[in-house]
Amino acid sequence: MGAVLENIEKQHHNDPNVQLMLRFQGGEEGAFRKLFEEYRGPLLNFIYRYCQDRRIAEELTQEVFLRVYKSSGSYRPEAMFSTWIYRIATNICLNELRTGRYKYEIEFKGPDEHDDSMQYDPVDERTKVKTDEQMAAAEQQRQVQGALEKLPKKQRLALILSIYDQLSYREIGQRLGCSEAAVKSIIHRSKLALRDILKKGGLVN
Amino acid sequence: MKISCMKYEHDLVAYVDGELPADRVARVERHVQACSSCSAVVAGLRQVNALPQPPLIEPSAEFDRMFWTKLAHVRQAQQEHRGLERWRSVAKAFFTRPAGLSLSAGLALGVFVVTLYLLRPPHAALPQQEVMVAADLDLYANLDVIENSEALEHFELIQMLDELEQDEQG
Ligand SMILES: [Zn+2]
Repeated sequence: MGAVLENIEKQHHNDPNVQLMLRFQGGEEGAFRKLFEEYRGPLLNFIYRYCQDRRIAEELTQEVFLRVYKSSGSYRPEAMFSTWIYRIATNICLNELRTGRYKYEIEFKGPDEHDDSMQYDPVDERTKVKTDEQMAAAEQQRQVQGALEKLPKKQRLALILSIYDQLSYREIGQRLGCSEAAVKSIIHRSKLALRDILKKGGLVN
Repeated sequence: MKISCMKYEHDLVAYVDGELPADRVARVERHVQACSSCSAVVAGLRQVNALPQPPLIEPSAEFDRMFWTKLAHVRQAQQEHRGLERWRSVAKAFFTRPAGLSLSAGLALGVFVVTLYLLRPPHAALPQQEVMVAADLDLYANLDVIENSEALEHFELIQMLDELEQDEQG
């Protein structure tokens, strides 16, 4: 049993980010800074797609890194670093938003109060002109986000990882902490549900 | 979707995602060609799969500064906690090790006996009454000599640390 565990840990030792985490565990604070710089953008976007509030997404992303920092003493490389850190982020999304101080804002935010960053587009910033096509795309994006928010939390997270990040069932399962078969079932249901919602809005067949 | 089509639901998603076992593909295709509602589901699911990525956002200008400030607080709390832990382990080690325990118990008993001796009425044998009163804890604590003894201070420190520990757990 011990040998099996050791082998699993050895597999992940080749992951350069696991190496950085181990160096941080050994007292090298610069290694933590590197991990922070590499993952803050992807994690922020992952959480933002889930909660649709820029300020909350930033706070929760910071919370992920605080937990990484605090857990350095007990860290063991039992998975790829990205799997591990996304799992922390997933737990925060599922738990903090349910019980935490963010609950009120998320649940009572009206459908039209999404912040502008959704429609942010660097091209628009330069020209200050939106073509019809861009406006339509932005409107579609807004409706899709609204539809995603109607899905149960776990379905929403799984679907984001599937259709936006193109992850496999196995990878999604590792991040969400459930089996491949469970993920498959969740994704199937969430795609059917999303299609139903978007169909009512006239967005898809 | 018709009730009779429900049994196809998951197969339709698997079909669109290309993960349906070959032996079931023909059956699903036959049904979809004949059923307008299921063919609409297939078309809708293809559109869901093709949804464009939402634009990426960048961390705000404040993001890094706010994070490192929060982290500094965590670090400070960790250091304070470690300091307390060190005290706790030193004190615990002293009082739980047999040598430390018997040493302090012996010390306390010694101080107690000496105090009784010093406070005895002149030329009288130790009266029964005083022994009983001295056994009363309130008076025991009021005796300056004992209150100031190092052993009692340590005893209080341990009590304090234990209360802190209970607070943290509670
Ligand atoms: Zn049908």
